[in-house]
Amino acid sequence: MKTERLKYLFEVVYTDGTVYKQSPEDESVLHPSKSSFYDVDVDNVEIFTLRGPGNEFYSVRFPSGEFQMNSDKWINQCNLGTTKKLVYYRRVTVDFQEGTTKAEKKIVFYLGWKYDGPGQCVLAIE
Amino acid sequence: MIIWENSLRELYNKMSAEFTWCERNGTSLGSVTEGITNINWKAIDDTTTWYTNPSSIINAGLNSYTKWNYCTFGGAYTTIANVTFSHYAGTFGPGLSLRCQKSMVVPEDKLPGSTPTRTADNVNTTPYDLSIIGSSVQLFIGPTSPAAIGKLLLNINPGDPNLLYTNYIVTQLQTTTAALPGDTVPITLRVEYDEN
Repeated sequence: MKTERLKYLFEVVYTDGTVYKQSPEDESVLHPSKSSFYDVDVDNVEIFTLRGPGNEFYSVRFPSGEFQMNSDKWINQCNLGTTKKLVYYRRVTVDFQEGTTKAEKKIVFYLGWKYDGPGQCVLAIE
Repeated sequence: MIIWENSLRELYNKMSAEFTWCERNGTSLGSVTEGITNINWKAIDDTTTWYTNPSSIINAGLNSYTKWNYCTFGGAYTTIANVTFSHYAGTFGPGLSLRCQKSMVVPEDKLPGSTPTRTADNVNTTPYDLSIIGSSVQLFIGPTSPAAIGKLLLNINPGDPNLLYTNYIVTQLQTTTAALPGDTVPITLRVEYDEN
């Protein structure tokens, strides 16, 4: 099944100020058969941002776990745990209908963190 | 122009994990069809005979052949996780029920694969009723093949080749004499997974 063009690409600012950007091909620099996320050092992320085609953006900042959505304001969305670790994935939904020959695919982006306890705090972005 | 179209397709194919829906048929599941986009439960074990063909029709009181499907994930990705198979929309009429193998809880729950039959519930000792909208089973993923060991809830890109397989998704349409003649109400089935 043909894959979809990703609506949002991520950018990482590390604690030492260096920047890593997901390539449009979503191809790892370290291991080209894997995706760009393979290259991300999740233990040293300061800001992880998803940027869309209209330059809209969604960021999460560490260690505070605050979120930023298309504005200058950082929001503390969940007040859970102490040690927070980056969570980023795309949830892909594929629907098949019996008796037809077509399938529909939808991608939702999840961005946030898990903490030293059960559960996680994530944004779902369509 | 053709070169441009081909280039564009290749570029798109690199932008997220490549999902493929597959079906196996025949003796010891020896026949593989990749890239189909439906499931048609029939009285014949293949992917080619259309469901309205007389040889596909299931008489009321009998069952379809078991369908042995699975998904593969290729292309550039780092991990695949949380794969589910669910009944999303549409309700069958009277006398019809859709059975599915049980949810994966431990890696040993995966089925090794066997020749499709029309015998009721012969694929698993505890099949699951997938007739109701919202019913869902958990799938595990791992390298090598749908029957191979090593399947987990989350798995990493194994590299060379970059393929992960779900366990077999085994379904069967079972009927009673209360089933009405004609086509069933079409239902929508959903596969959901997380990738990064």
